[in-house]
Amino acid sequence: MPARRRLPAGVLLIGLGLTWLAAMSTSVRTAPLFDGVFIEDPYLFVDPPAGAAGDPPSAEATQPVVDGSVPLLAVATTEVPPQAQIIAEADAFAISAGTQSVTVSIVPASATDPTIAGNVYRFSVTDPGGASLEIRPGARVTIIVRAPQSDLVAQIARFDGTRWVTIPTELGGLADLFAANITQLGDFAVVVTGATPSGSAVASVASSAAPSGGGGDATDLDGPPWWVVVLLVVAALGGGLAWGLLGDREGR
Amino acid sequence: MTADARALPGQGAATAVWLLGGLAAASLARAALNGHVALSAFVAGATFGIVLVAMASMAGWRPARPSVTSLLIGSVGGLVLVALPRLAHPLLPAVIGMRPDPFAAWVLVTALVVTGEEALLRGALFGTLERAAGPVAAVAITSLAFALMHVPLYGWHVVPLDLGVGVWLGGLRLATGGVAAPAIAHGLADLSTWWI
Repeated sequence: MPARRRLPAGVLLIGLGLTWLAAMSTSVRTAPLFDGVFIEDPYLFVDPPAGAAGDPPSAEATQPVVDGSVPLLAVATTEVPPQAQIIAEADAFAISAGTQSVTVSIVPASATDPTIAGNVYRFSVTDPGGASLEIRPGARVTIIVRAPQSDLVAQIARFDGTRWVTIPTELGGLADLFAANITQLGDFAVVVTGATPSGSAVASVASSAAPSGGGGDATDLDGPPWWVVVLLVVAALGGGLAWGLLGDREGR
Repeated sequence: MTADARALPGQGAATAVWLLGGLAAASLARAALNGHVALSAFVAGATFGIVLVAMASMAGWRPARPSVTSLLIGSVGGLVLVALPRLAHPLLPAVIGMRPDPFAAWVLVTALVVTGEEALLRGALFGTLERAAGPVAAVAITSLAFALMHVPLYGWHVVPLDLGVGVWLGGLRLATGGVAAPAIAHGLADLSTWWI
């Protein structure tokens, strides 16, 4: 390889390696990079403190069983970003023979402990008869729960019937999204486990702005409308025109 | 005229410091103004992009016509960035993040942000540093700046991924000699977040 190509190739390889390591270092799949326009709706509380927004949506989705197993599941509430999500790999739930479908639901509830930041979320997966399904041993099921602010020292915790038990947690792409792999469904919340730079867990999130999400359905994963394609074509033509108008060529 | 900045050799360090300081100030100001609603985020993002382009222009950077090869390399570079997280976690869908409305405004402002960041980082700053301290320093410093500039909005956890992507984009800049390839790759990666 000529010397003048060796350096770019080496830099590209290093960049590829670093990017790969960063992507592999999380247990969730996030965006290709953190950039662009950053917009987060105000946090929606079941019991909103003064000045904060309320009425958080639930999410529910029914998924057909395919070849005797539950396919990959991804269900989220409708805020931007969702305040609660569940991602389960295929065949993560034990079902009885003959089960035709399963229903995933995420329901917000009031915080029951002063260390909880935001809402409690009840994650459940049931068969058509309403029986709760168990997670198969070793199956990867990840939940992502949003906290009301982004500078918390916190973990996701599960309510075991008597107390909140923290589980290994990482950030789920944004500074206020907490992710954890779970082995049981149930009630989960973000629990503050240390001092935060700006004080209490919910004190600074008051905002009266309306969220762009809403309603009670699971997040709509459809693409943008047809006119977006027109917009992109116009942008491409504009880019081509600009390219033609530019005089000099790039080069070293 | 090329895509490189035209600062005089003796002014290289001062120009680089000025560009980095301006980038830091613009990043902090954007985070402060971003707010929790689409309008403020769009205004903050668009202003950020325009300010960065203006700074790059003041440092002597001018756009130049990219070669078809650069466009192709940039497209492939973008597809690689989009594919990497999927390859790292092939069995999982992506965490759903932000899909702000309206879509057209989001595309426009995202394009402005990408243009500003690339004009300043891989355009003016890269050219200045390459002449003053060599290509390795140019890649290292622009990549570090790219990672750190996102901390005020996203938090420290983004640094590893954005640092790696910054090095990748710097490699595209080195390979093609212009900003078109990294800009296309960067834009593709940003815009893909709507669908993944």
